[in-house]
Amino acid sequence: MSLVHRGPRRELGFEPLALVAMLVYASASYLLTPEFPFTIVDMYARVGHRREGATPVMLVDDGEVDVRTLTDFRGIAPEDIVPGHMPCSEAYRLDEIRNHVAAHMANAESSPGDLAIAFAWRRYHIDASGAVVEDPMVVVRAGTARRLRER
Amino acid sequence: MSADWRKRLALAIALGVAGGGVMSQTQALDPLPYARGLATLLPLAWWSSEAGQTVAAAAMVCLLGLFVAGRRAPLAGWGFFVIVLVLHAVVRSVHPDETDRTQGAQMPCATLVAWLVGSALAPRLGREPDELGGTLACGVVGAGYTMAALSKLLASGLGWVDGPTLALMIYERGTGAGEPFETLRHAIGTSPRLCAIGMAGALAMEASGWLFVFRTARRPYAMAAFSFHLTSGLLLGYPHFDWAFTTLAWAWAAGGSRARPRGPSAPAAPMPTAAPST
Repeated sequence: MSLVHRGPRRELGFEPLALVAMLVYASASYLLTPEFPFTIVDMYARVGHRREGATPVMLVDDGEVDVRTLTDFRGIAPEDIVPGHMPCSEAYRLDEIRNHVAAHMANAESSPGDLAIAFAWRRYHIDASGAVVEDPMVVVRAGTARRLRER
Repeated sequence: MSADWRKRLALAIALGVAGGGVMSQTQALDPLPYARGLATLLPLAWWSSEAGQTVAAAAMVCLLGLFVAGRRAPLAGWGFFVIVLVLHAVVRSVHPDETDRTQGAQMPCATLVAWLVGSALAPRLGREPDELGGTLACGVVGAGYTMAALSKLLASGLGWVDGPTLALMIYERGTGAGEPFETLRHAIGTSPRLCAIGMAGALAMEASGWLFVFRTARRPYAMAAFSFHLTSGLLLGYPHFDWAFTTLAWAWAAGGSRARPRGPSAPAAPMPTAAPST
């Protein structure tokens, strides 16, 4: 009889019913996705081998600003704020800018805002060494707006 | 899940983040799209209106409060699930071509349903409701992460460990992100090799999701998953705290080891008692 007490034995704690639940949920997801709450979790799955990128930005006097700080847009329409041929991978950011502009367009009878604004794309590519290189910015449309707090 | 309200609170936080995430996607563009499914219960404009959002948020908070308090927790859980189900139909109507907008909420809600089903079946199987519900929920967590890795590998091959592609993604998401994210992302984005190593680790972590069927693996795995979600949030802007809190909640509620004594149990020796001194 060993006099050395090795303490309680620790087990891995395999739970067969957890495995059954895992297989059932995974199988149902492949059959039923995207019906809630089944999903094969393919968000972000398609990353591809991108070598070019583009980020939508709103400019005030050539400097980037948060679009949510602006209102009374004139000269830039929501339909201008679309990916077009740009290699954009940030649909949510484009949606945010387009939704905000759509909700804060200037009235036809109001005077133009005091800020010179532009909707533009910052562009990048990967060079031969694998480094990210910034390309010249592409301005899509220019217009005017006001600061939201001044309204 | 244990009857301990603190453990219910952990899951309720995850569900709250998930429900809020779905609700934030219900904003409709003008002109309004065609409502489908459960979204036809009320006018589509109502769901994205201030009144609709307030009512939905208040209902979710109340139901989660009941869930945490343990008062009719199954009923509150099903009620919460139905609300998110309807909001999901609204999002599907507003963004019909983008099926991934509510994926962050699906795993937390799926674990809730697994817990509800397990709790309901437990008496028939002679099991504790919280225990069986937690076991099934952990299986769903494991499935979620494993499928996430599988989807990436099937859709992009090893694209998720391609350094330059990831460096570009991180660099793009630095632009206009505000400080300190902009500086951090632009700095990391200039190192494709570091990006590749980091994402290989993340992919391996997701592919190991099946380990969640082992009780002892749940807590370490949940910590690794939380670190992964935190890093994804910092570098890519994909924090997904709905998943992170769900994983932590179930690991805490249904994880850890169950110690079993070695060998056959022997009767405990009587404690020696001191002889009375004379």
